[in-house]
Amino acid sequence: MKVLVAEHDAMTRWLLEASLAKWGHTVLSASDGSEAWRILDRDDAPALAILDRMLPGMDGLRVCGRVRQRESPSPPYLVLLVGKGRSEDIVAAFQAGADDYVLTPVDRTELWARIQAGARTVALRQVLAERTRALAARPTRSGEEACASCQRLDVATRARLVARSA
Amino acid sequence: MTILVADRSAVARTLLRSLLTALGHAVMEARDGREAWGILQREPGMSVLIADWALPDVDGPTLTHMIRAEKRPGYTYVILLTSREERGGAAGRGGSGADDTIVRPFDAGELMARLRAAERILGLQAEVSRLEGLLAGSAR
Repeated sequence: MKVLVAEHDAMTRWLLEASLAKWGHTVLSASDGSEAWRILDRDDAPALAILDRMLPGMDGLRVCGRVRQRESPSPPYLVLLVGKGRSEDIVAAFQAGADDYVLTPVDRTELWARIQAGARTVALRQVLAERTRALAARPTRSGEEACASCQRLDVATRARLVARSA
Repeated sequence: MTILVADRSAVARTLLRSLLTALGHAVMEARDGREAWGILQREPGMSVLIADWALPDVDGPTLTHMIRAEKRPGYTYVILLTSREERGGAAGRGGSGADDTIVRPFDAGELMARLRAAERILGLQAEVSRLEGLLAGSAR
């Protein structure tokens, strides 16, 4: 899986990159928010991004918000790095549209577990999109039902947007 | 979601029940692995099991393997509660077969985040199964 690591601290970034590469992922990295956003704004954006809350340029929450506003058939799974003891940042991360968070300093086992959950969700979303396309291609009742399924997904996305703006 | 909480400690069960109820989930409780297994047999549609790693009688990892070995109608998402030492060992790399782990002590925010992930994965899996059913149906 293609993963973006956006972290300004070189040592932390290197540790994250090394772990992810060891687990078989293709890693892209960014040291500030604007660079992270440029990578996530591309058509071949990574499937998962690990964003530090405190990024220079554009902070992690703003990057999250921008990504969520972007129209994309396969939006990336976003994991925010949040300082230990800053529970208000966790709430802010979810409000900004993050899928999950990892506390810093990063515990490797914890990171592995969070990436696993993310990879699983990304894979399921891909399968779902393929099945929906396969069904929609059939000019039958199931094609209509697949469209109903697309609408349901849209409803879920809309519900998330509503929850975020609340 | 309907969540089964399995922990030997009544205090831990009560705490989890109050947190989960506040998040809008229905909660069932078990004191040990045997009791948890009995409830899982009676309730095949149980969405999530939150079990202590060191559950008496049948421990968390064994219970997880029993669930996975059985052909259940729906997927039961398993979260094991561990100590840091337990997770440093076999629990760390998915060796337990569980979907996720939570290290004690944990806070409400962490529990909420883990359940969000569970709910998302269960929802996607249900939707994929539904579409696969439709595809199989229309292929006939």
